[in-house]
Amino acid sequence: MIGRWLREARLWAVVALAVLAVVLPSATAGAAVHAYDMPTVVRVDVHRHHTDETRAGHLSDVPWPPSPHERSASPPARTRLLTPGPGLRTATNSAGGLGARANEIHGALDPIAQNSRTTAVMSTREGPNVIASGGRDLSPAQRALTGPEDVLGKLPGAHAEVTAMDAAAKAGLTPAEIAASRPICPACEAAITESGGQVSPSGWWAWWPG
Amino acid sequence: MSALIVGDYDEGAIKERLMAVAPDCRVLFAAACAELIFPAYRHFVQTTGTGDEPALRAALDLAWRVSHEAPVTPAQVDSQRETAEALVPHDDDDSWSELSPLAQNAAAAVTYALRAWLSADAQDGVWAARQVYELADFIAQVDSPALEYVRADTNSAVVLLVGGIASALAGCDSGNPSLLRSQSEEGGRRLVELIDGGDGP
Repeated sequence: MIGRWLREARLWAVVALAVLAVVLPSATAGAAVHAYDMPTVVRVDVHRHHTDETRAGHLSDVPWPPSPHERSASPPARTRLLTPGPGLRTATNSAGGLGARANEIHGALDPIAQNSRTTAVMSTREGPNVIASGGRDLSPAQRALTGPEDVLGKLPGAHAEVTAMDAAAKAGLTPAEIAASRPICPACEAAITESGGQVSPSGWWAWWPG
Repeated sequence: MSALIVGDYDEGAIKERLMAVAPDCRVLFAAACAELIFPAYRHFVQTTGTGDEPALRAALDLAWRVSHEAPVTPAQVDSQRETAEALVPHDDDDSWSELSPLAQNAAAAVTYALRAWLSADAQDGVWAARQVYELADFIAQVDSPALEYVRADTNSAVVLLVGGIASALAGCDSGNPSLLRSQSEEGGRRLVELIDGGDGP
């Protein structure tokens, strides 16, 4: 039962484990080790605390869908991720594809659900994408749009972005970029930052420097 | 928008049937879907102490009045639609609980029943049915392992609720809304038995 499960494993602990699991593969792979402060992590609240004001602020700075020119000019995402340089620009281009996928999967929901749920798509350095939805997790219509190569997140009660980070960790995958169907909330931004990621100024996507 | 087809649940067939019946029958079908899962909302309210069961009940009762002769204005319908939609929990609500998905589907189904009245659009009836299927699937997925979504065709809740949708679809133009409603209420009672009996959250 979900109730029993959630009571036994508090969400903040799940977040902390997800963050830890995201950080460890990078560290063991010789990548940059990110500062990790456990006491800070366990205070992360996985529930969204968006206000209409913050959402409106983010929406005024929407970076995608990227223009057709940006998309056609983009080299393969995984190549870009390994290339040092102007990370913001390259991540924007690559995240545009993830954003389009997030919007596509989110669009499988009925109109009311589209307004009350969040969908996230995460690319990983190993290749597979992680697909996740917040709260109740992925609906049948959303799952119908995923492929066998996708990893489907499942973490009832958590936000989409945290669910994706958790799923990547459980599947042994290293996050590269993540995009969501609405701006990343402060709580998820904190979780992403603590795991070594960076959230775009617009708040619609984030990436983990390789 | 693409139609969801999983096992015996076929949104394409639902829409085709609804497009062939009168607009009032589409509302009755959507109301029957909402009635099927209304007890799940009551379960949510009683367990969590949140939500507003009388308000959602009043909204659903209004949807059933589509076939009555007593006049109901579009403004009245739209007001109740707004009330019902406001009761749909968001996944970023601070009060989110493990039962919130039940409330999401139950409140959304009532909203779509009233939308169907206002729009006469068969798709709103399909969306109401979608709520029923999603709720059944949610119950089926509760006990599945991490990172796994199980095929839910044979789950008791899925069998019950997909059967309820089919029954509502068959009876929505029968000219007997009372029978349609009582059948949905009976399905709802059996749903709560499943939830209380351990097959649900």
